[in-house]
Amino acid sequence: MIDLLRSWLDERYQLNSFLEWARHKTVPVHRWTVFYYTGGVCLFLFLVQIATGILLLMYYRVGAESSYESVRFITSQVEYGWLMRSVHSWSANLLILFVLVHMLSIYFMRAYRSPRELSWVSGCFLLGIMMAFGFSGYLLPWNELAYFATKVGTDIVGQLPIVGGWLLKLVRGGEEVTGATLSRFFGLHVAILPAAASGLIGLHLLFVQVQGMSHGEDAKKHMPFFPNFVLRDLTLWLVVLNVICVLAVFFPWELGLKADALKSAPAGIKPEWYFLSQYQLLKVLPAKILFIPGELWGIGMFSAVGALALLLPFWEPRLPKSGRERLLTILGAGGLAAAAALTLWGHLS
Amino acid sequence: MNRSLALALVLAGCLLPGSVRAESKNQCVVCHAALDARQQAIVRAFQQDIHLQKGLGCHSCHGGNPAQADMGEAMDPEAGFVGAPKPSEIPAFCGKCHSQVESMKRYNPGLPVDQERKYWTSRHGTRLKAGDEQVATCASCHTAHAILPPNDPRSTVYAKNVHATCGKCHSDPKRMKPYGLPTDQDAKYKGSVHGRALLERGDTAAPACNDCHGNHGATPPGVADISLTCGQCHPANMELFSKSPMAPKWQQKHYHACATCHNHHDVAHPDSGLFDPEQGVCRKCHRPQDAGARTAGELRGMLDGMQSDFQAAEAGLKLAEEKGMDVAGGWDVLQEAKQAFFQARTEVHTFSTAAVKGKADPGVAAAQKAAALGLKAVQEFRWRRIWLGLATLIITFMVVALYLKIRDLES
Repeated sequence: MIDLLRSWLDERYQLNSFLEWARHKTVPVHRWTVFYYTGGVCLFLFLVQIATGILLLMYYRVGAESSYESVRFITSQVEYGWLMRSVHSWSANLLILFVLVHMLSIYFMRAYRSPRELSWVSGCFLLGIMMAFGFSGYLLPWNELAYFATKVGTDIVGQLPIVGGWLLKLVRGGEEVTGATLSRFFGLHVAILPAAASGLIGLHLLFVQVQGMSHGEDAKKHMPFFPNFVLRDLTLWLVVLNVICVLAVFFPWELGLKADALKSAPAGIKPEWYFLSQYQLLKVLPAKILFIPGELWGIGMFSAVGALALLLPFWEPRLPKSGRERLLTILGAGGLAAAAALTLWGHLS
Repeated sequence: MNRSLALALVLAGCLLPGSVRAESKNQCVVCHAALDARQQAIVRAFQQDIHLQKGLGCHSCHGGNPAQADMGEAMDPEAGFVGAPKPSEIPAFCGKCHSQVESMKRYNPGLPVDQERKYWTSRHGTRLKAGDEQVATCASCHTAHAILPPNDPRSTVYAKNVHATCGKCHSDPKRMKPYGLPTDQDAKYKGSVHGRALLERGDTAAPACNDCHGNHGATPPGVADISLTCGQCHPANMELFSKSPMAPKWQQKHYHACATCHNHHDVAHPDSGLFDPEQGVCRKCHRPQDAGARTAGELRGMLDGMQSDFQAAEAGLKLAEEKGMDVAGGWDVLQEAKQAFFQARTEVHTFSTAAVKGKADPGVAAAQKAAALGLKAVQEFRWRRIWLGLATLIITFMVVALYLKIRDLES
């Protein structure tokens, strides 16, 4: 029966040639092979997000008068609703963490170099999309923390010269964070971003499959992709799934109080950890630097670092070869240390 | 041109701070600030006085001419100087403006103008009229030169400061001896449910002395019944009591409606102990085995039952919450129970067990439902951990199996 189905599919979709390719696909084995698994974990966590997101969507009702109530209903009345919400939230945080670890490993392994420039660029866009997922999803429960975090976060957009005011209205759907903002963020979170992420992930995986893993030519040893690497991937996915379950049971994601625009912001309000370094930098910058608002300097710095990171594979080969590796390592380690220090500072302040 | 100049001067004057305006033109301040410590204290105190803030000066009350440097001319009776009033003159002295609608409209249209009239009807006022100058007048409570609005926390008549202001005289045995009045009211009030709410919790909705005794026309004497005073804030209790079978009997015996059970100044937090047949207030009239004592016992049983149901539900919900469970629905139900119990406690003023039961039963049911929700949440919490343990076991088993498979493949 299986042979019949296989030949049926092969006649139409050249299944055998695909299986042949998969049989011969290998993964280089070296001291940094462990970082190859981080990409797989990102993919797994993205799948968890899609699955739990769809389940949450069955009960979630967007609107200033219904979002909070529906999330409360999910966590208190729906069977395993609490689990789905906690898994969705914890998995989102782990996803951004693993995307960052994955990108840092690519950076330090110099795996972005030719011919893998577009893998890096698509990865950068994916990081941006994941952060946009985080920012838009944070508002959806319409609780106090989410409301004020979104207000502060979107205020930054309004600081941009010339287009700031227009962009702020576009993002918020008006002057203030209201139900209109919630609808926009919901649309972004469940339609636009998933479509963009799925397309880019497909492209990213296609690039990796066509070009193979980096450092393949330098490695002395290789392992078969199927089943050896896939089974290892699966093992790690199971461990990550278990970690998420433990986090969801022991630290269920709190809902807090419903958003109230007339209330003052709760003391010590902070964004999620992956926005904390940027937030802290904006907080400590002076009000004016050379007649230009400090916040604009901050936004300029983020944009410059983002652009430099995105175009890394194109400007990096132009650096003088002598001392280039050392300079790149210092740049990466310094940037990482600065971001970690700012995050810690933001967390403690 | 002259009108423009005058307008410009008025505007410039308005822009100056009050104290500067007053001091720059006020010879009273110049001279009195150079006199003895008492006079200097008056000048200092007046800097924060509401009258100065409203643009009034020393001469507005005391008359005279503050623009004159010469003392004789500044304090010339012919220029209207009246000096410091005697205690018996103070109500009329303040009433010059505070009893005049036209005057008060200029400075504070919201302020009543009947304080002086009320004062003369009060115990303080009637005694003052009879020649007793030891009683309180306006300045005794409001101070003479550091008068602040009652909503200013620094004011002597701010809600939290009233007990100390009244207590200044009423807690002084020497001052109260001629009147045969007790001096423990302030101490009793501070320990009362009202005093603790206001002074310890800062709940300014809780009554101070003036809320029961009146601000200027101190309520006793003249009030028909104490319940009329208590009923201002507790109308439902008053109405239920006045319709109860107890009301006519208490009238016959000349009992004070509320104070007989709840006391005057040391009003305790009412609990079921009030109905204890052995220790409660009912024993004042009822013998331990009579029908009234039996009713009291039944009422106490109901109140205790409500309390214990409520506390059990609250403890269960708190426990569930401490474990990270979402029990918002349980708190909503418990709030319904609280509301019902509140109504049942009010209903005890009917002294009818059936009426109290009618209000308490829905509350008991709600409290039991909330307790069940709390218990269910705690049980679910335990199940979550058990399921997590099972899932971890299965995942660990799968991980080990995969590891063995990989090792087998690579050997």
